[in-house]
Amino acid sequence: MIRLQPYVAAALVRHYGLRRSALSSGLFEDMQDPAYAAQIGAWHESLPADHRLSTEQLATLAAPDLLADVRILHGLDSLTHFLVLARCGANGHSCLLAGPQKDGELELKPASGPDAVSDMILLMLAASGDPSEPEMNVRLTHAELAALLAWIDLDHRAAFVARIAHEPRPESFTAEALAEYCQKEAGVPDPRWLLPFFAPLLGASIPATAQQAASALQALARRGLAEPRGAGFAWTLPGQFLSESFQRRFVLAAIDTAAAGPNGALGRHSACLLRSDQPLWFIDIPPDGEAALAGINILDARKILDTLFTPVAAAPELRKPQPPPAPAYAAAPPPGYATAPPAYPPAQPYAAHPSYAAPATPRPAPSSPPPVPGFAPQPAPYTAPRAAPQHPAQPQYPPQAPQAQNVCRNCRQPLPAGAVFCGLCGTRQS
Amino acid sequence: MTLPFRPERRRVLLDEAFRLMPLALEDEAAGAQLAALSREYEAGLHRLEFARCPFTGWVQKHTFDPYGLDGLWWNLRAPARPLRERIPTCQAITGAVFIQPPVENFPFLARPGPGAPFVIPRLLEHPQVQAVLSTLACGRHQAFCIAYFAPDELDGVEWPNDWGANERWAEGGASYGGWTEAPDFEDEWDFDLAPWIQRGKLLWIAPGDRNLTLQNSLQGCPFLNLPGTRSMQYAQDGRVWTAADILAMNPEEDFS
Repeated sequence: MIRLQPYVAAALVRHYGLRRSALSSGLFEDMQDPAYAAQIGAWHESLPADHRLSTEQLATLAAPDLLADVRILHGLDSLTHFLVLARCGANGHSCLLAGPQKDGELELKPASGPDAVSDMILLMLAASGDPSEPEMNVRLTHAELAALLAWIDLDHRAAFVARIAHEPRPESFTAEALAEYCQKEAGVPDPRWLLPFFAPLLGASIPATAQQAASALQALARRGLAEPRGAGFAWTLPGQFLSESFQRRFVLAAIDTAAAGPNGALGRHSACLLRSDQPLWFIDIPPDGEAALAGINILDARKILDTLFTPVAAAPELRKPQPPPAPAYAAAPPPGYATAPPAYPPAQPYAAHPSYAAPATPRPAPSSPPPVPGFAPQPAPYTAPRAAPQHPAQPQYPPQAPQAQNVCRNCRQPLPAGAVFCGLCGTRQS
Repeated sequence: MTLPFRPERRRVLLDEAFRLMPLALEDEAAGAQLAALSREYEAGLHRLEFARCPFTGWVQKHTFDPYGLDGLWWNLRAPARPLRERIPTCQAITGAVFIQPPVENFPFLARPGPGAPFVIPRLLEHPQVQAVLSTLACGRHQAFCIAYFAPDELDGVEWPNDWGANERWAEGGASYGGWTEAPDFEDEWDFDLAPWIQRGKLLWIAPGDRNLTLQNSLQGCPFLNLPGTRSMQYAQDGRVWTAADILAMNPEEDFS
């Protein structure tokens, strides 16, 4: 296990002249000082072999073809968060796990391949017994899924309160209570509850008003999970089963991937696997189209995980910043791309995964969620035999805001005032 | 819980098991090693959905080796599989395999059944018995599973051996369970499935139907008039033969 500051990773990538793909832009920025990169490179080469990254691992860090953001909640109080970087090459796949730390460092651990990552997660999901496979297969819009998760959370909390107060558990919940819960809790980074855990995957679909919540609840009623009762809604028998098994979860894994499809355009796909004491649930959340919720078995889960962690094509090159600066891979989707949102076939969760056919939604910079006290992974600390060179004060890193009148005459890279050479391409400026 | 093995791990296990098989007859350590490998193989077997009970709707899951006939699951004399796999209403599981040559090279004797799906009329004639036919891949071959269901244990019915084994695991209430050997009479197999489907005695599951919907119509049934050997197939050391091949064999030819 090796720990690197992002600027060290950037310097190593610069030092070894490695290609960068668009997917590494959220991990570290370009290093513009070749002298400093050389200094870092020399330091890296002085480390014992087992304390430094191989060229292949560095290449995977610099140009991943697939980036997966994985969060695994064990029980209700232990969150593991790591990134899976995978690269497809002529000799098969290479894979690297990166754990973002509180201090900004990346804890890097090589994995033998996407298969190994799948099996690691699968072992957690398998637990001590074969899961049952309820014949439940529900398709939901994102808003309905958000309402369902919020309702399960509310139900869970109400059960606690009822137990403590020796009062009967409430049977129905109103749309107003649901909307209030969504407004209060969706933005709180508390993964112990379902809605906050899923919130990064659901985005703006979470009901914000009582009207939106009522609409989502009515849709859940049409799908047979809820029924109107009094002023609110109550679970039907299938809904009750779903709610209780979600409440009894002991492993919940969220996987958010970004990768290139066969046409080279980047797409994004999200999925969750939830293991309760009996069923293993799969929740597929494509960026567009309906989500699907189904009970699956371990073999299906393996196929899903394998698909989610296996890149199918090389990710596009990282675009060099040009004035005016443009965010990486924020270009408009290719023609026809946005009109091809094949919904995940719920009856065949192991079939060809549409993750790479999803519209090329601009992916936010993959960054770890705000740290939650008590929820950050606690890996064994790595002590390097030698301290890394301190980052120099000059040149500025990250680069200063571009000035139209002060850019490299060769590569258009913004230059600090008074620069004689371009820090990126080395062209003399005067 | 052990995860189902991946093809690469299965290959490693089988290669080592095949190396040890001749040694295990005399070498105790090799025998113990082979037993350990067999246990690991058994623990890593896939549990696939074979059928659905027509009486209760329960799903019959069963271990199976989906990667080929060279798996120890197919070892006729020592099949590597758990003992109790049938749900209470499932009385017997038989099967057939349409073998796509060349067959894998393995040192044990395998008896995967005939090359096309069949039923045993004397079982289906019983008013309480219904069968369910489904298909699944076994490496490059196509396997067919025929499971017989009855709501209760039936007296006086001799059930066939477990698929691919020369015995069947029989339960006698809570107190008894054990292997019993039943003869496999090839001449009682009926490959004409249509009349049994029409009578409602044979139900089928469409290939790839994950909901395991039981179908009772001849229309669209993909299992009718399939090609394949109508006799019990035996396989070992990369060769496949039937009893007729043995009878017609030149005595000087080495067929062992």
